[in-house]
Amino acid sequence: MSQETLLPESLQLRLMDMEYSTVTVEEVQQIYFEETGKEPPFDIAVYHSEDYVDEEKANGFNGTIVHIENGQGVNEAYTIARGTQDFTDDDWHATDWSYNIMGIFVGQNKTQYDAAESFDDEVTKEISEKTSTEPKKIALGHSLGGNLVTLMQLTFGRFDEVYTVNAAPPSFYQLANIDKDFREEIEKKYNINLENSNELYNFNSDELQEFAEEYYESRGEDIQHLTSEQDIMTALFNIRGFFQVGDPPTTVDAFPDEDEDVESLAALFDEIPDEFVKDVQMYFAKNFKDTYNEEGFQGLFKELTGIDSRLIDKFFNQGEELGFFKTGKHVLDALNEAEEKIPELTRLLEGLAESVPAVLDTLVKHEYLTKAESKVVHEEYMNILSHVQDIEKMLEEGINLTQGDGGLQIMNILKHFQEILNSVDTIDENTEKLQEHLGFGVTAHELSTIIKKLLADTDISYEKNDGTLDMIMSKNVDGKNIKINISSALRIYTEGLSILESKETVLSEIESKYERAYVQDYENRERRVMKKVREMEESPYSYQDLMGNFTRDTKVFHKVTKIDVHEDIPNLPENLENIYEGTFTYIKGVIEKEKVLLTNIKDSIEELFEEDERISKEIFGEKEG
Amino acid sequence: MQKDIADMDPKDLPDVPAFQDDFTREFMASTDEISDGYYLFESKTGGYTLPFPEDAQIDQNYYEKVKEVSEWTRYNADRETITGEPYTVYLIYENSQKKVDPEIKLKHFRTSVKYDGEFDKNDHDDLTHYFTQNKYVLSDKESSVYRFFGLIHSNDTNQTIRYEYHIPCEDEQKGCDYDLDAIEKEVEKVLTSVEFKE
Repeated sequence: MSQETLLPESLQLRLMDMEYSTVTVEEVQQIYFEETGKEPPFDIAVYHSEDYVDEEKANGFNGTIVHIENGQGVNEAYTIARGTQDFTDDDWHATDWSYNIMGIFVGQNKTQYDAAESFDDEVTKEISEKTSTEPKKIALGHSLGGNLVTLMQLTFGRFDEVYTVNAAPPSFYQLANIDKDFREEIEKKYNINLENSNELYNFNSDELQEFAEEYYESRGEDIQHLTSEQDIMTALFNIRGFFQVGDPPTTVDAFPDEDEDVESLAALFDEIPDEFVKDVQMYFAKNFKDTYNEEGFQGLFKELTGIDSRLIDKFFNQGEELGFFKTGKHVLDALNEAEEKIPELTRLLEGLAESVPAVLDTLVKHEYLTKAESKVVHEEYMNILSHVQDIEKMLEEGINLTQGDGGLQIMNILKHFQEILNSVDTIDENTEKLQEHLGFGVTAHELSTIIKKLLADTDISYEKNDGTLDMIMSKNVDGKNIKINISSALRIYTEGLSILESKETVLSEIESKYERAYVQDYENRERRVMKKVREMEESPYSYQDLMGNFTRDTKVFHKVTKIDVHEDIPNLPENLENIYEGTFTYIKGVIEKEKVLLTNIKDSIEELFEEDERISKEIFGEKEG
Repeated sequence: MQKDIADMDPKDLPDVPAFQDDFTREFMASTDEISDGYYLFESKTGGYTLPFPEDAQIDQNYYEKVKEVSEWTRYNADRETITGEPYTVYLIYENSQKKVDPEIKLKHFRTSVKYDGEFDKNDHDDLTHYFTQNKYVLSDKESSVYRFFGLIHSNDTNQTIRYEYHIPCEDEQKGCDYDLDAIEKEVEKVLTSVEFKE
């Protein structure tokens, strides 16, 4: 990690973490406090990709640019590309996981890349216009985000520094689609014509890898990687098509406390035969693009077979006879689709069948499967294959609905599908250890794991709260371990202060309204009455008409010569004044008490951690006032 | 307009790659030649049509589409009109919900094609066409690629197409005596025949 950027590594990591939800200026200020104990000595501006790129067109891309400047030389823009969302929770079918498969694995999907590029261009232009100079540009990315910023750097070198964490490495299949110079260099060097991008998959991948590494070496110079040893993504993409750029990664052990060393899956994936990977890539490349682009993961899954597994469940859950009537049309549509998809899938499974034993042997060798489990998995694989072959044959023969047994045919086909789902379940049950290790790999992949390992020390730890990490400080007092959520305390303090401020504002508004509506209004009325009184007393004759009309034959004429008013204006009722003034004083007292409470919280936390360097008095102190 | 070309027996279709290639055929809007050697291409987004050379094939593995908002197409053709050389064309179509400033699009385009110079600008009725050309010399210095590229923007709608024509020159030492202005005119002729549809 370069020391030349203004935000230290800890902050860069936490920015990436924060980017998974929405980054605001206040939050950036807060983590700056937390990590440095100081108020940021610069202005912060935040730009969100959704304000710049149409959501549909972004196709799952999300990003944020944080710009800091102080008008005296500090001018840095941090482009953060969001990574893959948590895939441990239920909705791991997020659009960008299918992007991982589609975009990265087979080297396609230019849409997210294009969205990222156009977002960065537009915001950089805005910042440069605002500050009259180009900012220093730093890119940050975790997981898929790391892949995106790496590609952006390799094609155009737009950043001064790139920092990735557990990133999916770039692949030359991706780059051949994005970077036309690179594509044409390949065509020339190997005298191949990439008229059809499929040719690239048939080409010797070792040679391409070597060439790509050499071609992008200098553009990759400013890219730095941080990975956890057990990261699944690093392990998974250590295969055909992917190559390393930049400095060798700095690594962190994600599970230092486990009894046994948790090993990376990389050694396993390394031994998976190239042919196996190639077949899978080719299959994905050929079959999935349109649907993936339109429907994300769900489309991808359905695209495998043409059938939605939920439909099969529904069909059989209704009872077999009823099932067809309730789901009939959907089933027919699905079978029509299956007729197109199944042959391709059958070819893939047939093709892989040859290397499946080798893959299973590798799993046994690395002790992820027992011999017995491996046998079961192999049997189930062959079962799936034979069901798929049967389905293919049955679909080929066609379903004749005009004949009596059309419904029966359909049911038989669906039974085969159901058998496939059962086999998938059995495979699931027999791969527990493998799945546990995949789980380790997944945990190691998460940014929070890295942050916990890197930034935590004896007194400081981090915990997930509402999607982002909070800083927790602990201290032993009289033999008891006291833990304080500093992020939360800071939020209480700053948000508390700002709530009290708005309370004060509202109160003073009410006070001035009371002044206007009662006190001033009373004075205005009194003044108006007295003015009238003065006018009457000064020019009594003006009020002559009050005496009525006098005609020519009037005997007695009354003339107004003097008016003397004896006014009696009652004071504003005292209890009214008391009620209002009393209420105001009371509320002011409450606000003051709340301020004292906040200050007490702050003081006691400060006192508790007085000797701690990271959370010095300044963390709250400078925010006061 | 015929709509069922994709379902027709290739034997009944013109005997040219644009119709004989399974994937390319899906984009052909009609079997009627619109000018010598060109047929009407219709985007799968429904967003535009364009004259398409009969000897060209669309690369299925490059192709990408997101709903009706963007589409990435790449095709290769055997004979460029002026030079007779094989060439490659890239088309990126976008239809934005937001108001599009073509100048910002152009800035983005500059970085993606790594070009820092100026663009010529022409107005054609409701279309604005920005275009330019440059030459990429391959790292072995033995060959090069002439690139004609630009951006077509519909002033009435928020639709744009970024395009690139790549024509290789096999022998950079000897040089290729291409009539660059004539190629540029030809490219412009094709691109300004784009019809955007909403």
